[in-house]
Order: sequence, then structure tokens, then C-alpha cells
Amino acid sequence: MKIIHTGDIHLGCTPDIGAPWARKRQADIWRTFEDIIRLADEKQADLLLICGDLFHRQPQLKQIKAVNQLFASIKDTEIVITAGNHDFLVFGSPYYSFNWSDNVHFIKSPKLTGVELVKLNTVVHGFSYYEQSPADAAGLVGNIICPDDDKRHILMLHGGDDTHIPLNFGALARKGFDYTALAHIHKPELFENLPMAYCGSPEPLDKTERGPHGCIFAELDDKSFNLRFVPLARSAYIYCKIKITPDTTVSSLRNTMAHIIQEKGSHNIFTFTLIGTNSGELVINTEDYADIGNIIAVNDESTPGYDLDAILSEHKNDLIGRFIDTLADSSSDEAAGSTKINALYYGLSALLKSTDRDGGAK
Amino acid sequence: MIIKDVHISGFGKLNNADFSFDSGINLICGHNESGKSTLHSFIFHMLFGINRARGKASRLDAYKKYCPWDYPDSFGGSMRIEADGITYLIERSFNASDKSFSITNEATGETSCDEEYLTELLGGISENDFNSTLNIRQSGINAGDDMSELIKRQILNTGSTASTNIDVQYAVRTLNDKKKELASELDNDARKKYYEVQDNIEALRDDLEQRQSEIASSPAYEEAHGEALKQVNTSLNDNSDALKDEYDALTKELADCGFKNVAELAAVDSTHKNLCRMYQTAKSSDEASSQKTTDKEDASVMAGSMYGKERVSIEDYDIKMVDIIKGSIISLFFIISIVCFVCGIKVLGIISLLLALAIAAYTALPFLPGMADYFKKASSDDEAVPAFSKEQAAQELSRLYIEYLGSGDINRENRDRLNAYLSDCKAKFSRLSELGSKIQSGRERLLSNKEAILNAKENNIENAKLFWETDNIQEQLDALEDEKQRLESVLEKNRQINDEIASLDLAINTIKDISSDLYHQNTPSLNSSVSSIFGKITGKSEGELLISDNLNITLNDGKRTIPLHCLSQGTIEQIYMSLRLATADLLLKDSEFPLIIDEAFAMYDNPRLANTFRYIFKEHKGQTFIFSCQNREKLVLEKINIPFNFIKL
Repeated sequence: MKIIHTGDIHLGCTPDIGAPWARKRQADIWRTFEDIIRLADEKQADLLLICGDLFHRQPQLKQIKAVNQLFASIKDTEIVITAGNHDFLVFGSPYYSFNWSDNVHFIKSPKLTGVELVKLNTVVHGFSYYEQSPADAAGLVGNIICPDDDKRHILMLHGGDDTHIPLNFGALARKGFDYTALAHIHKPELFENLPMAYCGSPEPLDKTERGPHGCIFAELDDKSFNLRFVPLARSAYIYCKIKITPDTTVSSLRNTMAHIIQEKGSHNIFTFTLIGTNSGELVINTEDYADIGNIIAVNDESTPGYDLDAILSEHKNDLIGRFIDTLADSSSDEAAGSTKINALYYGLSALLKSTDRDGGAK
Repeated sequence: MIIKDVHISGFGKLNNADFSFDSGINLICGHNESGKSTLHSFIFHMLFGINRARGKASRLDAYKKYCPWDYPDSFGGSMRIEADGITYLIERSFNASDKSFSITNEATGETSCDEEYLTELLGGISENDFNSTLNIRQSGINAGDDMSELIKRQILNTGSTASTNIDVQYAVRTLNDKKKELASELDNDARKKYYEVQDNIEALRDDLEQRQSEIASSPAYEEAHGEALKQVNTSLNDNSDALKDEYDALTKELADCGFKNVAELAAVDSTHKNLCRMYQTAKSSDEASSQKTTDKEDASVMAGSMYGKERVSIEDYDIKMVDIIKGSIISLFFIISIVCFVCGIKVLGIISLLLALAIAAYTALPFLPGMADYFKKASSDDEAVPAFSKEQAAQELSRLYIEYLGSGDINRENRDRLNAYLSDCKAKFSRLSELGSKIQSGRERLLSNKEAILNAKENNIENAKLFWETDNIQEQLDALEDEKQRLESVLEKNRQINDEIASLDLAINTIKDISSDLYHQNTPSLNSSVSSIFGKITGKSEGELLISDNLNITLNDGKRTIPLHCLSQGTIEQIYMSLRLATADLLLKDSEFPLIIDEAFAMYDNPRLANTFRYIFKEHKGQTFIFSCQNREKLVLEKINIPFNFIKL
């Protein structure tokens, strides 16, 4: 039996909103979802599981209709859907009362319920969210029992963190379901040698969602199972460190970044972290690198190349010396500490610069 | 550093002039327009060069002023200085077309064209420094910003090496500029907009919820669902079909049963029962009545217990042996009681009588209910029944049996058969009526559902409107949520910028605090040194000069504090002189540099003039140049026996 397992698609989401690539990412999410449908068709999958958060928010009727049309195009695949904590069901909403295509089974019950797929001799168990954070989480998953008969039983669950139905994975694995389809955690994860997996979101949705994204393709035999992760995402979030020196200028930094972007793929989205020592005068703004590629952030963790000890000895008794003494003492908490370090470098840079001025100061 | 001599090629009105100087006090006197200022300027510009029209100091544009008209090529000269025991020759040409500078170490013959070389020899004292301290002219009152700034700077730089000179104002200004730059990147409206968007989202959500619950509770919602109602109707239809089938079958069966309806059946049933009874009655009265007593017959009649049921027939009632014995005993006791009464034994007689009655009552007990019935029945339904004779009854019964059973025999079997048939038909009739009513009610429900659907279709337009409205609101909500997300990232960026600004503020404030500290640290010493110099000039030991934080100068003469502008011009000049000399001390520390005083003593009285000279002679390390158009300085110097080099222009 062939299963496509996905979830957390978040149709309608606009990642990195405000950035120039945001609208394209919104479209990417739809295109990748269409890819999943196409995959189900190509593989002639028997079952497509959508374990919650199909939509990013309460969907509009036109969005539901678009999805239904996609579902209807793969009539030979049975599709089972549940609602997650983002697209939870609301009475009186179009999502609740929509008349889906015949091959779609929407498990609307708020309690764990099985829907029987006679054609496949399979029962799929799941439930839908009716609010963002279910009140009785423990009750919902506390006493899951896998029925003991000759049918296949598949469990769909949306949850797994503290506020959305914490799960005991070990216990779940031992219940005896032929496959346990998990979602809600956006990072895909296969559990070693177990017929259980987190499908992850098909497209990464913010800069912390690094790594590959796609869906899970599972093949179940009577005795064995085979799970495979299928990468589908059109873009990935990539982190890079760039080492700079006091000679680094805005131009040279731009070149470095452009080079990295070209190497790793300009369709990806980058976060750069600057390390090393700077000249104290390097100032880089969003406008300076916006045209090179999809750069979501440049974090400056470089330090100015000041030899504090040397400066201190030269200016032991004067303003500069006392300035360093006041700010360089390692103190209290981290937040205050970083403010102090920055203040130290800002002030030192300004003070030292004032001594270099020709004409006026001397 | 000491200036040994100068050679002026061409500078202002002086050309081809030479002057030599002493290491001590040099007094240069001359009438007005004799060239004193020219010489003064020449010395200055040999040391620092001419920078064309730069800054306030060159307001007069020295170049234009001193360029010789007649021989512009000779614009320049040379000067020999001595520093650390070595003599250097400085040569300059100020002419713009062949501007040049060279400094030659006369001992080694080394020449350099680098100004830095000279700057170092001058001990790091800049043109500005010099103009602000050692180059003393007549004051303007309110010594000017340059002066106070310099003093401040001087104070702050106490203790630093001469090569660095921190300009706190500049540093703070740089930091403030950076702050302004960052602040301009802040989106100050973001937070306000964020709250607005949140409020809008709340309002829309409430609106949406309200409409959604309207939809959910409307009867037309069932229609929007579609399925539920359809399913109910389907099952209703299915059920009614089954019922109808059964109904039709039954109707068919009952068509042949021989009764048109229940009423007819009931009539036949009742007739049959009556006939049976009559027949029985007739039959039993024919059969041997010898065996049975009238009593017994009556008794059996009486024993015909229930309403409308068959009477108990004679055969059913058997005479038992025990009853004979009972009868005998009763009779016996009656006889005994009579005998006793007759014999006069009353007691025994009563007892026997009672016993007899008791046994009789015991025997009669089973018959009592029957007796009551008997009397009741006497007045009831038997009236309508015609009194048939046995033959008549038999005839009727037979007719009945033939009609319904096909056999005319009058026996128990047929009787039972007919009864069974009748009750079967009765059951069927009642089932039929039951079915009929079920079908009817089913039809009614279907009808009302169909009506509901019809109504729903009408309301559906209303419903569709609600759906469209909720969809619309949902779309607006989506847009607002996106906006909220965008604002959140703006607010995050704001937060980061504000952190940077906080760092800058910390830097600025730290610098200001430290400089204020330092200033306060050193101000007492400046105060005291200015006071002491002033004291020496005035010759008074009392009276203290005070310089406040913003360089307001006041004089405390032991009785009151007098601000600068209340003092006489002479005193002001002397205070100014004291300030200059004090800060010059600070600047020079241990190094030597010429002090130039140009026409500064006009307001001094002789005693104070003498005191000043004494101070300078004693305290100032290095050369002194005094320019004057008067004779006074010469006379006073001679009077107080201070050696000087006299140059007359």
C-alpha cells in the first residue's frame, strides 16, 4: 500500500513578509502542494494523508475550492484530512460545511475517530482541532488503542509540543498501528526502524526552518514498511559565516556575499554572520546588500580591531583610559553586557578619531 | 625652543632685514607703522607657515596682507632656532607659485622639507594652541569661545602625552550624528499602527464569529450541509415502501377473508359465540337430567362464571363422593339439633345447629360467586339472543361452518377452527390499520421536510449572502494578519536599532561624565594657579579668582564676589593675562616655547606692570618677546633691573 504523508502545508502563508521575495514564497507553497498532488498521481498512491494545518489560517471559500479541485483531479487516491491548530474548525465557517470531492474524507470529529476505507481494507484514525490549543489534550491521546482485526490501521496525529498535545513517542510506537503519521513540528523526522514519522512542512516557513523540506512516501507491506523522505521545497534557508578583517569594505563584503549566493543557489534565502575584526568604520545597511540576492539578515558579530591593553597603557590617565576602565569591566547580565561592549567600541572609535583630526585638535 | 635670529627677505613692509634675539626677554619698540606687527607675524608664520584663508584665525588672510608688492618673489625668509642644543635653519618661501619649506640641522647638515619635523621640534604645540595661550594680544572681554574651549581641552588633556589631544566635543558630536542616523531609520509609527491593526483584527473577528454563529443556527444551514436532510428523506422513503408493500399484501389477503371490515367480523364472531352457547344449552338440557339435580344444573349454570363466556356445561361438573358425605353430615347435625331442642338440651342443640350451618356454608362457598354472576347475567346480553332451539342452533352453526370452514360438522374441532380463523383475521385487520396510520404519518413527515427544503431554498439566498459576507470578512482578516506580521518584524527591527542607540547613549554619557569628573578634578588647580598668578600681578595676597564650570570668571575680594564685567578694564586685562599664563603653563609643562606679548600692557599701572615682568622673568621658561610702541616697558624693566634685549624698529 502506498501512502503520501504530508501536513503543515500552511497554504496562504506569506513567509518573511515585507521582504521582496515574500510574495513569491507564498506562491511557492501552492506550487509545492501541487507537486505533492502530482506525486500522488505519479506514484499511484493509494492514500494521501494531510495531518492538519493544510491552511495557514481560516481559509476563504475560493481557497477551499482550489484545493478541492486538486483533490478531485486524483480520483483514485483516497485522501484523509484533519484540521490542525492553525486551520481549526469553526461552526458556520465555509471550511466546516464544505462539500468535498468524493475521494476526500475529512475527519471532523474532535475526538479520535476512525474512518473506514473499504476499498483499501484500512481504517484511518484521527481528529480535528476546534481551537488553537485543545483543552483536554491528555484525554484525546491518553487511551489510544489499535483495534485488533485484519484491517490496516493508520493513526494521524497533529501535535507533539508542550502546548499542543504533548506525545510520548515511545508509547505511540508500541501501540501497533501499521503507520503513525505525525505533523505540527515543521522539521521532517523519520524515527529509526519505526513506522512513524513527522512529515514536516513541504516548504520552510521562516528563517529558523533550515534543512531539507518535502513530504514522506511510505510503502506498507503485510510484514514490512519502507519510509522515504521526498525533498520538494523550492527554496531553503541557509546560514553562512563570513570572516572579515579591518581591511574589509562594503564593496569587498558585497562581493563575498554575491559569490556565496551564486555558489549555493540564488533561489535560497541567506543569513550572514560577520565574524573577525572590523575596522571600526564598516557600516553595512539593508540597502547595501538588498540587490545581491535574498538576504534576510546580516548579523555583525565582529569586533573592532582595538588592542585595548595597548590603548589603555597609552592613555592611562586621561579620558580614553578612564573611558575604557568604566565600560570594560565585565559585569552583570548578558544584555547589559552587550550594550556596554557596543558603547565601548562606539565611544573608543569616536574618541580615537577625534585625536586624528588634523588642524583642529592640535 | 628658542628663536635665535631671523632674516626677512620680503614680508610686508620689511625686506632684507635681520634681527637677532636673546634667550630671555626681548623688547621690541617702535613707532606705529614701524613694522612691529609685521615682525611679530613673520615669526609666527615662519613657525607655522601661511595657510590661505583657513579658519577664523586667518580672517585677515595673512598672505594677502604681507605679500610684498614690489618684490613678490622675495616673499619669505629664514629663521634659526635652537632646540635641545641643536640649531636648525628654517627657510620658507611663502610665494604661492614656488611655495617652499626646508629645515636644516646645522650640526649634521641634514635637510628636510617635511613640516612634521618642525612640528615635532615645536613640542607638538599647534598654531591654535599658540594663538590661544602664548601669543598674547590685547584681550577682548569674555575671552571668547576659543579660549574657554582650549582651556577645557587643556584641562581634559592633563596627563596625556602631547601627541594625542582628545577633542571631546568632536567625539560626542560624532556619536550624536550616528545616533541621529540610526533614529531616522526607526519607524516610530509602527507600534501605534500595530495596536490599531490588532484592534481591527479583534473587531473583525467578533463580526465574523457573530455571522458564523448566525449561519450555524439558521435552519437553512441544514440545507447548506445538504447531506443530513437528504439522508433522512431517503430513509423515510425506504421505510414507507416496505410498509406499503406489507399493507398491500395484507389488503389482498383480507379481500378473500370473507369480511368486508372489522365490524362485519365482530358481528360474525359474536353470532358464532351465541350460537355455540345456545346449542350447548339446548344439548345439555336434552341429555340425561337424571344424573343431575336441578340444583346441580342451576349450580352449573351459576357456575358459568365469566362475563360473556360459555357457561359451564353439565359434563364439566362431576359429583364427588366427598360431597355426599358432606351432605350426610349436615343432615345428621340438623337432626341432632332438633332432638336436643325437643329434649330441652338447648346448649347442645345450639352447638349442633352451628356446626351444621358451618359445614353447609363450607360446602356452598364455591358456588357463591357463581350465584352473584347468575343473578347479574340474568339481566344482561342474553336478551338479544333469540331463543333458538337445538335444531335451529345446529342449523345456523352448520351454515356458518360451511361458509367459512367448508365443513358443516358441529363439533369442537370446527368450533375451534372458526374461532382461530376469526381471531387471525382480526389480527390482520388491526395490523392493517396500524400500517395505514404509519404510512400516513410517514407521508406527512416527508411532506414537511420537502417544505423545509423549499423554504431553505428561499432562505438560501439569504444564506448565500451571509456566506459571501463571512468570506469577505475572512479576506479582510487575512490582509490584516499579514499586516500585523509585517509590523511585528518592523517592531523587532526597531528594537534592535533602539539597542544600538542605547549603546551610543551609554558611550556619550560615559564620556560626558568622565570629562566632567576630570574637569572638576583639575579646575581647582587651574583656579588656584590663575589666582596665584593674578595675586602676583596685583601684589595682593587676598582675593581669589574663581573660574566656574562654564568659565565664568569672578573675583572674590574677601568681602564679596564680583563678576568679570564689574571690574576695571585693567583688572580684566590682568585676569586675562593670568589665565593665559596659567594655561600656557599647563600646555608647556616642562618644555620651552617663546611667549609673545603684543601691546597688551596699555591698561596696566606701573606697579602691576612691574609685577608682571617680575613674574615672567621668574616663572616663564623660555624666550619672551614684548612688542610695544611705548617707552614705559623699557623704563619699568630698567627700573626693576631685569635684563632685556632691546630692539628698536
